[in-house]
Amino acid sequence: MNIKEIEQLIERYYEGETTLAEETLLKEFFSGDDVPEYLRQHQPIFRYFADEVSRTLNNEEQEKVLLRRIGQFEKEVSGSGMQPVQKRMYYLSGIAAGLLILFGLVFTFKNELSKRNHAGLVNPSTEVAYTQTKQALLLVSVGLNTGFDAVQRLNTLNNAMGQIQKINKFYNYQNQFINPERMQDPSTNK
Amino acid sequence: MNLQDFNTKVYPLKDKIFRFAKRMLDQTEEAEDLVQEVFIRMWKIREKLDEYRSLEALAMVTTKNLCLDKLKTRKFPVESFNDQRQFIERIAEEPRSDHSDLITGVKEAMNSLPEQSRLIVHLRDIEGYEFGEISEILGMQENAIRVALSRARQRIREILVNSRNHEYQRN
Repeated sequence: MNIKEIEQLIERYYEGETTLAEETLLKEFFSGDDVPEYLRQHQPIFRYFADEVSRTLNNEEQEKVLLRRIGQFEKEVSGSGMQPVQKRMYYLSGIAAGLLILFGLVFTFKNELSKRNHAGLVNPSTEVAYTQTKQALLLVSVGLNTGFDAVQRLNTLNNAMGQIQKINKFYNYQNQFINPERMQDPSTNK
Repeated sequence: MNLQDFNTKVYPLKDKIFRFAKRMLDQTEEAEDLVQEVFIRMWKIREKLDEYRSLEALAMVTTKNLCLDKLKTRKFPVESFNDQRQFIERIAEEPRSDHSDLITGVKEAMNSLPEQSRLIVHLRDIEGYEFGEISEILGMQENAIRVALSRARQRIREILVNSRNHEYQRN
């Protein structure tokens, strides 16, 4: 390929008219060392492109990760029996953790109680009395709460009463229409 | 498509995916992660892969879309970080011939192009795709690609010429 043709190729390259094959020719030409001085200005461009295409995922770590990922794909396909076991383990570990927390709470509570007893700050009978009172109070509290529920019902009654009030008003107005002379009463009340 | 097909047909695309992602994200680590994401996406639709005319185009489109998502969710500009890194890289490679300086100039000229033009130049001049393939990957008309490519190439040349003149004036 003579230099005239190269010059033409370069021009057509910048016009975006070269084919891939021609562009490869240009890359090859500029990768050589016998580029005439007056064409050197184009050299870095083609060198850069050639450099870039040789840039790979050049990281062994990354390749390993990628291959491991693909290995995982394989597992998904072949050994799907692995999945349920893992799932069961997952739930079991959750239950175990829950039980552990429960036991922990119970034991610390017990310890706390026995410590108090050992300290002798309260003798057993007063302790019993204390718990009984506590229970009684609790009972009262619970009873009170149910009582409140009943009071809630009173509220609905109140509401209903309000409705009835409206009916009363209606009656009043009706009376006024029927006996207009009684209209005086409400106005004097005002 | 089974795993073996996947390994022979999709896995070799890793470098192209990586380069394209790197071009879009301008960040090596993110580009490396993205290669994995693309592979996962491709694996998930492995049953349908045989229906695609070009796996490569599909992989590149997937790469582009994932990169766009990533760029959208970027909370802070990475430019400053990259500038710093380039700066450090340049210090490390201080004793360089004029030649590789010029090549760095091309890289900078590329980076100054609008994203679309940059991707077109990348796909054509670096990856060597036909216009039809580029049109498939970028979802653009072939004619528009030709025009943009020509403009981008001329722009790179212009920038290089300007920087050289600038250098001469300085010297």
